[in-house]
Amino acid sequence: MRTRIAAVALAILLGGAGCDGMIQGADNNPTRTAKKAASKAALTPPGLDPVVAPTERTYLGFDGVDLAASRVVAPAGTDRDRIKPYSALMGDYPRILGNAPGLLDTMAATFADPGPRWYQETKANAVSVYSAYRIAFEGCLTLTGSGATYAAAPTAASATAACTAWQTAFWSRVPATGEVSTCANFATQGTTTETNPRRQWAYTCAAVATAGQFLTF
Amino acid sequence: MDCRQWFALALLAPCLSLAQTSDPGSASRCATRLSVAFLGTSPTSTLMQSVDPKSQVDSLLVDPAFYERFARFINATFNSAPSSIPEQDAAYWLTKVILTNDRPWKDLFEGPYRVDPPNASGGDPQVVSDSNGLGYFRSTPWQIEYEGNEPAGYKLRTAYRIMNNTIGLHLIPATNAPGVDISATGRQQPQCAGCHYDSVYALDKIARVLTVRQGTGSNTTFLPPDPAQIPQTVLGGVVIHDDADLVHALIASPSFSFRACRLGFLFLYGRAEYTTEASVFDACVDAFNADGRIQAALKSIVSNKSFCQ
Repeated sequence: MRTRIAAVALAILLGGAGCDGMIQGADNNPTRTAKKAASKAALTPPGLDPVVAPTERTYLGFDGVDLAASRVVAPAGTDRDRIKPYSALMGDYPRILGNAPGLLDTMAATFADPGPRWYQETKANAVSVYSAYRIAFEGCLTLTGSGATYAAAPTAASATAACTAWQTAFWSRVPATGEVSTCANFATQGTTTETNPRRQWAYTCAAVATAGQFLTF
Repeated sequence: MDCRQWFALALLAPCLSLAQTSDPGSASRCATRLSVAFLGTSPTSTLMQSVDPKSQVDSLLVDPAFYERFARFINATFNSAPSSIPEQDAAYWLTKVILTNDRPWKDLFEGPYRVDPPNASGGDPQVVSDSNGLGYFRSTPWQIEYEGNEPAGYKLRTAYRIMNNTIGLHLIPATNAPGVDISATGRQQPQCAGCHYDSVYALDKIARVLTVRQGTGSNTTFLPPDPAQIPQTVLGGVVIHDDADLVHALIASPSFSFRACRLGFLFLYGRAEYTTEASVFDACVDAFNADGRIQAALKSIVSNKSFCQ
């Protein structure tokens, strides 16, 4: 600590004299310091706290190589959305839909549920996403199979209300205006080849339940 | 009082702060992230309704589902594929015991244990106390799995696996052309000696202090090493007489706690830490070094507010 204080004090003195140089990690060049601050800020996306400054601590292996040398330089807190494993979906579909789609029990292999004693990070692919939609549609069909709201075809108003409710419940967050309108447009315009209103609603519900906001954690 | 009034009172900062934190779903999203990351399951209604899901982390860390998920994660990290012989997945069985009994993480590698095949009546492999144990490294099923095929019986693969499991050392084996001398003499050629003799992690030197394989598969026996080859100096100046010396040196190094927290990030984030997350990583290392349990490392990582952002 004493060394650091001395270094900072020296840097201030040198800075006052117009000296340009590095003193034990303290940078007294205002232009460079501003650039570093801007660079650091750029690595922190809006809405995330800057946890996050690279530290001065190093970890050396037996061969003197920096163990952290392979770290990726990327914004802190990003690349966080992981695909939910099958074991989590088993509980999450019933939690959001209020019923357990029967298809779910048959989909362990589709979602690459690992065998005994094994683990693997779940990856999404075309088959798993399509299967997720099928599962969601089955559960949504049960959900929309009763209730007066779903007896009539979606209108702009009813779709906006239902989309807002589903997105909020399925995604655990308040949806953005654009997300609601996209969903409502799908309900009113993208399901019109279906003549059964309850199935129209089920398609809409399934779309919300197949979004990344639900399938990731 | 609405935001315009706040502005009128020149209290801009509190108003913005309020706007940024008014996210009614943040707690339930955090609950989901915690539950799936630790347990692999949908959150319980109790966790889902908690206003501070992170306050439940201690409960998650003693949940049998966490023991199972983390043991699987370790097994899949320490091995390239699941074994068809359950007791050869020794890291899986012993990790569960370490977690269940709240033991220090280093016990996985140097604790007085042994992983045996199921008893005659069947069931699961058995983790038994063994004063001569060295984590799972002296368990016969594991030794057989990683005995390798070196012509003279030197257990190069075992040497590598011990270092890989404890400190995360990663070496890439070279592909030999047919007919190339793969004996100890051949491995002294420049293209091989880098890993086998010259490196601080010299596989051949380390293998000289390990038991020597004789036979293969179920007919394998392990003979004591040649006394004339002991000790060896590796790891940048560490003198080792046997596998225990090697493991103790690895565990005593900064590489061990680095590995523990790297595992923590991989388990909880699905990726290694970024340069910009170094402060979270450093806090993890401090927590792990102070406590010794892998649970402390994991708790440190999720305790940072960034985990649920």
